[in-house]
Amino acid sequence: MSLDIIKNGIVLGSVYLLFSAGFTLVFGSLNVMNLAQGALMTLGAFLGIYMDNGLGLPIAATIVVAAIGAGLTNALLDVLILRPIARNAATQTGGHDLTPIVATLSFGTIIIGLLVHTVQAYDFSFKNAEALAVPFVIGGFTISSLAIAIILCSFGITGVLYLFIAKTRAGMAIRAVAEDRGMAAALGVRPNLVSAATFFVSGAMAGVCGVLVGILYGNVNVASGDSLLLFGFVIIIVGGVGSLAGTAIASLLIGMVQTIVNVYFQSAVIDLIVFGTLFVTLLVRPNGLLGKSVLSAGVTRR
Amino acid sequence: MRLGRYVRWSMTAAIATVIAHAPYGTKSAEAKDLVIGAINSLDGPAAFVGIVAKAGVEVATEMINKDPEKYLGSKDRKLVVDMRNGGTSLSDAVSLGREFARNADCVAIVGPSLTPQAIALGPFAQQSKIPLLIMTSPGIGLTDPGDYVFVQSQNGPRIAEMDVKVYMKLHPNTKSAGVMSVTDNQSIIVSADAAEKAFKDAGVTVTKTAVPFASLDYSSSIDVLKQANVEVIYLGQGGPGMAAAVQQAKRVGFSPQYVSYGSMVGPSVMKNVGNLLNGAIVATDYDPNLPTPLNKAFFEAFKKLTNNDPDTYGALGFNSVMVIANAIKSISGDVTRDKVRDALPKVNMESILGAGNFSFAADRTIASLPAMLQVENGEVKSFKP
Repeated sequence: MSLDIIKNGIVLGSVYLLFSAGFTLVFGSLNVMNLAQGALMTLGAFLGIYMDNGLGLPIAATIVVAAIGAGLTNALLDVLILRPIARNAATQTGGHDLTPIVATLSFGTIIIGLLVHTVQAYDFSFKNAEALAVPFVIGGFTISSLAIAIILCSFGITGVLYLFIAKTRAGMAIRAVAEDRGMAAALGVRPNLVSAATFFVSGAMAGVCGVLVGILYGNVNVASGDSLLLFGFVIIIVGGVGSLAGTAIASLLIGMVQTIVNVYFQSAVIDLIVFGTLFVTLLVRPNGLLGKSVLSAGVTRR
Repeated sequence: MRLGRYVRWSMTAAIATVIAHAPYGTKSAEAKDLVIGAINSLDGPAAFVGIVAKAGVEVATEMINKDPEKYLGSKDRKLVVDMRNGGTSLSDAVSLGREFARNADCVAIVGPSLTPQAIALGPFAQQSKIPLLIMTSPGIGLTDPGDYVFVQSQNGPRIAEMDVKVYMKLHPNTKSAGVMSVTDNQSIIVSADAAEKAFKDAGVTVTKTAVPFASLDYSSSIDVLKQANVEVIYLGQGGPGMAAAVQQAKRVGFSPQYVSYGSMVGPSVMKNVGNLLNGAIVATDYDPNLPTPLNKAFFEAFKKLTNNDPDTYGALGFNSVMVIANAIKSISGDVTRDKVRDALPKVNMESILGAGNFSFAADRTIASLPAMLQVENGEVKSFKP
């Protein structure tokens, strides 16, 4: 296996991780499957395009704006939509287990609808970052600054997030809310603030992912997030729902498998192998590689 | 007293029922609106086709309604296009088809954008006896369901074969070619297979790769094709995917020639990577340089509407409505679905597609040949091989 294949697999895995870490953060800590994650990534990418093509900002500023924009949008989803739904459910005035999922899906669809209305069907590329994407050679091995940045960002952000949740007081608050929202509130934790902050971080990661992936692939379009959403699902299930470490391992695994299959086999079998990996994992390790049991009564069968 | 109230209530209900059902059951004498149902993917991975096609449809509708006598055969006729988002699912396309079929004013359907949707909708249109003009799908066998189903875009495999033949004529010493396909879009897969076969028939070694349609990651495919030293790549992807693939190839210092279909010379792709496509050969439905007054009028109206140059899909959207209008023009008296079905095979009109004329072959697919284009200095030029 050549070094280029390993590099491509790691870069693709890092892209998946950047996307999936925010996804699993919200699902693991707040039990919300946020199907707007793909749309948030696309939103971040287009905010970046506006900063880059429209205002000519340097790439670092572009990433910051994309992160803040996508983060705030995701926080709005929590505050304006999911919180009232949860309140209604708590007071038994209405709702269904699927309501939050459908709400996030609708929110994502609205974001994409607004983007389509704004940019039509046209696609774009970043102008001020092309130099980052040009590879250089080190001892016969080619890699670009951008690929290195994506690997570092992806694992760096996920690592910081992992330590934050595991080692800090604020992280403890997130874990407390995840375990028992009512009890956490009784102990002085502000669940609404924790929830909004978690959504913000998750959205910001999607925004960063949008810009970096847009530069890496040389293209941003309204469907940019679609291809990642499905793989994001597979990754968080294979990695173990709510486990950042599991998500990191699964991202690398899926990225590497996809790359190897593309190189050595008929590429039409990529999906069979990736989704086959999902089935095998579910059969052998039902909770994923590093996940905890989250089965509800609705899933169990005797 | 109670009886009187009952009679009043019954009469009110009866009138309400008649009013509610009037648009479906009858066509009022003074209304000459002729409805065309249009289905396009306005979101999802195929939105780059559907949104542009929608703009083409709107341009045609406006042009026709400005001069209905010229385009519809009577100044009392008016065309109304009921445009719907078909998304990407098969069931959505069929549900919309069912809705159009229920509307008695709807005389034909144009669309949908995606080949799998077109395949699903064809049998329904045939069964419901409503003419369906498949707008942008380049699949094969689409007219098999029967005489209510028509296709106006070029057959994908035929375009791929033409691309390869023209390329081989210009570069007869080519030894190695690449074919980039997708894993999940039937029309692209069959076109890429046709390109592969055409290269092999010409004695060229072929290396093939594929990625999912919505994916923009071509790193592995590019590495594989670069290591195989391919001189030319048949690019089977959507426009965004093509732009991404060409960009990623350039970054690793890989500059093969490209051959493909209309998506490659769309405004977005040309704006983003046009200067990397010099020499690319494209067989397609629409030549933006076609020197006719109709094309000039379309080009300007499209640009005014969207602030962008039209591409193949915009032209196909425009042409679809013009074809139905041309069929309607030949009908005297009431316009019915059966009359439209009977008139469509006889359509022979000036068009912005191909070399400027449009008619159907015996199998109800487009009869005229595609336009050939080549990219020179980052611009799309007409090309006569």
